[in-house]
Amino acid sequence: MNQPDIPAPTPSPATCHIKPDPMALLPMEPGTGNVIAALLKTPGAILHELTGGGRPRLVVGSLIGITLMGLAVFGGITASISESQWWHPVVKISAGTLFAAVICLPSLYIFAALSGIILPLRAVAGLLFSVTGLSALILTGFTPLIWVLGTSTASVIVPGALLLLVWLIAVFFGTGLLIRCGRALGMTHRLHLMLWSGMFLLVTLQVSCALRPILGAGKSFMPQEKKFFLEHWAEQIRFAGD
Amino acid sequence: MKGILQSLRELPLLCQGRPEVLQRWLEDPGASRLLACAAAILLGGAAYGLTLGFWRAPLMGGFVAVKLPLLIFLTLLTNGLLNGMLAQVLGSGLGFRQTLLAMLMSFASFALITGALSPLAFMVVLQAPQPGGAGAAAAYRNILLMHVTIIAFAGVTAHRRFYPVLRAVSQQAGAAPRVFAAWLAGNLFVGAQWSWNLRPFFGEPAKPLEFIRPDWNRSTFYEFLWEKITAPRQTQTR
Repeated sequence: MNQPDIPAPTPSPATCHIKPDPMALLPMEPGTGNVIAALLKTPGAILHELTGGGRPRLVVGSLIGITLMGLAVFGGITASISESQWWHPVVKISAGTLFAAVICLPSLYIFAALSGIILPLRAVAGLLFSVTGLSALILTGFTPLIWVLGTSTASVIVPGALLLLVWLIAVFFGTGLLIRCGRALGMTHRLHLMLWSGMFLLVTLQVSCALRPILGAGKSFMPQEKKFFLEHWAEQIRFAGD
Repeated sequence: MKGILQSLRELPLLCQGRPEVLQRWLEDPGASRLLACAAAILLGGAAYGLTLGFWRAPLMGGFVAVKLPLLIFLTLLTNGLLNGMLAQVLGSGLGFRQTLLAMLMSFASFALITGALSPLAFMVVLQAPQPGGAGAAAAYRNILLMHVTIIAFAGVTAHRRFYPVLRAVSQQAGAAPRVFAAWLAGNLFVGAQWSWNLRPFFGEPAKPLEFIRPDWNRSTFYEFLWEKITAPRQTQTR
């Protein structure tokens, strides 16, 4: 029996060279594709463009575009398993997240300063849309899984719980990027950015409740009754139990 | 063509799991290596799938020979994008194509192990009492236990062989366990759901012979699991 030729082991480039630091503030090539690659692999390049590069507006524009594109894909998949009209989840998820980001911008600016980071508002906006951009990319990655589980059940609770779980994971990665960026920018106190991350998560969850129903069928585009999101979830679980 | 044949000849290296050799696969994720791993999954999975369903009926064996590689490819397809993103965000430095090859390599070693054990399992199945005959109930349990053992052994071995490779190629210290855990959790979660959708694999003798169950999309695997866990408690409270 022929044995495969086993090549002699040689040290590979990965072990020979100094491994690159993903948070190193290095310049990057323009283009949405490069911004996506930088968000995933080398966020330091985005920080460089936002704080000292020549194209901060272009990068912020790309980040907003990536956020909207990712959320539209996530909204589209949600629509495919939803009982409402197809465009409702797309509009509600995209516009709702963008609204949550905009109202959280002033607090991020102040909390970044409390953490020991002094940045112009434009750079803070760039950081905020890096958080939403990475979260939107992670949400896009989950869309096949959501579709598989959503089409495998007649229940609304299962896909609802899955969407919530996926949202928590995506925001966890997004806000984790914020903390890493803070560290790279010389953050002195981590607590404030962590507090802001918690607030941002709460705001997005409340916005999702204010724009309900996203998954189920509703009588109108917007809800008639105001509720806190925990109260809404408790009602849904009770309703499913009955 | 020459590249594919060379890659096919190199497939046993996956079972050796030598990081210094397999690292080069991930650094050069060419089409021939992707195809060779896909071929291993197709052939190994089909061979073992045939064995898995054969005891119930030869036709069931044919069904499962199709469904087992399909299960692996559907799991890869569902998680491919997410696994690629997680590999990058968690600092392994692997790109989408490298992640795809890594996943294929891991599943290919699983398929090679199960495929290699399928003649032995097939022999056991041929020697066992037929469904409906005397001793069929015991045979059902024993064959099921054998398959669970083989699948668990192949799964654990494939992952143990693959982890050092991931550690060798990772750019950041500590990235390998994070990426490995994320991939494993995602593949288990999705794989369980797809295997639920594509059931039956072994085939209960009392149920009709069919490619997939008519209620394949009525509930998820996790709803089923939840019902099983909560059902005895509800009975007790009543």
